[in-house]
Amino acid sequence: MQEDMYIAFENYLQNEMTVEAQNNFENQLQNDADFRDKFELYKKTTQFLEAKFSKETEDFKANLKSISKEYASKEPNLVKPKVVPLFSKWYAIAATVIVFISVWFFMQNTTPEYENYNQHENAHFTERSEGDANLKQAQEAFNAKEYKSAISFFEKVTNENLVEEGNLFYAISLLEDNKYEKAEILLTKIKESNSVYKEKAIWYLGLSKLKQKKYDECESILQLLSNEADDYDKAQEILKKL
Amino acid sequence: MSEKKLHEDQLYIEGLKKNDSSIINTIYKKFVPKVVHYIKMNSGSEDEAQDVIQDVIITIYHQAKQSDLQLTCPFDAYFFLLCKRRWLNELKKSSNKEVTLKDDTVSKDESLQEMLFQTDGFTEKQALFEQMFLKLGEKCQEVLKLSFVTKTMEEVAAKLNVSYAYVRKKKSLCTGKLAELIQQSSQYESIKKL
Repeated sequence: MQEDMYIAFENYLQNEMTVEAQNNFENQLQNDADFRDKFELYKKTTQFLEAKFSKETEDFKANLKSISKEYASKEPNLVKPKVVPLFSKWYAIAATVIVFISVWFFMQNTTPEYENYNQHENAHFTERSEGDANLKQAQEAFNAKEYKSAISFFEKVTNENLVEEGNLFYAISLLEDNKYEKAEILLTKIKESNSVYKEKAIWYLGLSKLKQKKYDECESILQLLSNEADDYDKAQEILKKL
Repeated sequence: MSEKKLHEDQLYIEGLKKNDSSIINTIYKKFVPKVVHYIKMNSGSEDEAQDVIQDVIITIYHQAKQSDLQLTCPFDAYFFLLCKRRWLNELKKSSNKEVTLKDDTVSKDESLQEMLFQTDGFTEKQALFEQMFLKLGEKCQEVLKLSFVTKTMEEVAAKLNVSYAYVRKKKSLCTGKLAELIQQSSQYESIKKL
């Protein structure tokens, strides 16, 4: 009896029933709940089998597999265990290089720079000198950090009136204006005199070399500074970094 | 059946149903990398991730074909959560891998929840049918397989070297037998309505 029922299910699904048999079948479907449940399950089972074995599904799976492979190979491949040490080695090398580069940058950054040391003290050399109006204006321009105009005033001051102190500030102004040659001539002159500005001149000569990034010359000049000089500590700082 | 609005991402479902390569490619481009990343971050390999993804896509394909899957939520979240949950289940199964299974508090998106529920049910149903199919005798398995792989029942009869009438009858009875096994299983009640 069960067998006949399954054969009927199959015939109905395959549309291979006489019209009369079909009518009877459909009647039973409507009126017999148990029969209907059994038929529904039979139908679902058929659908399942169809989906499981159909060529369409096979094609779909094959297509999916090939697309999946395509994408999987684009992903960074799984590293085989043997390769791991090699990779770690390269990472280690890369890391080391990065450390060196960072250290280098760090050292670059700590290379002493003129700009860190160019806080000049204010000039007041005309209080004592009765003379030159240019000198006074030079002093004002210098204190206002307007070195270009200070230079132009210094240039107008007559030599006799340009005291040593004036020469020093003149030199500093020139240094600020990147006129190293002239500045260094003045500074060297002061340095070789017996003036109280001797040490200052040495210090600024050093700064001039520093500003020009002539580190070797800067070093040898700053070493001349006596340990009693005002700028001795700053000089030592620069020497340490160089 | 449901009044819920079909999501525009239904196009992915339709594409899978039709075995549309461009849609499958789009899925791999847009949605798969996230899944692979997740599985790799959770003690899985690339290969394991690809297996999970293929399983999930095949499930969606079957559900689309057999149960007329109607997507009412974004494909992205639906697909990701299906893969994620399948992977977590894999982890649970393999005893040597320790898993801290945070029961994932899925989004509060109702249609997403509903979609996941439907697909879970469908997956369960598929698994049960597969399992019962393997309980059939060898002869039944062979006849059923040939019946659906081969175009006509005449060809099946020829291959098996039996009569057409016999193979027709055998197919009906084996399908009926499979249906019985399914019906008798303890899980049947829970998947009955699907």
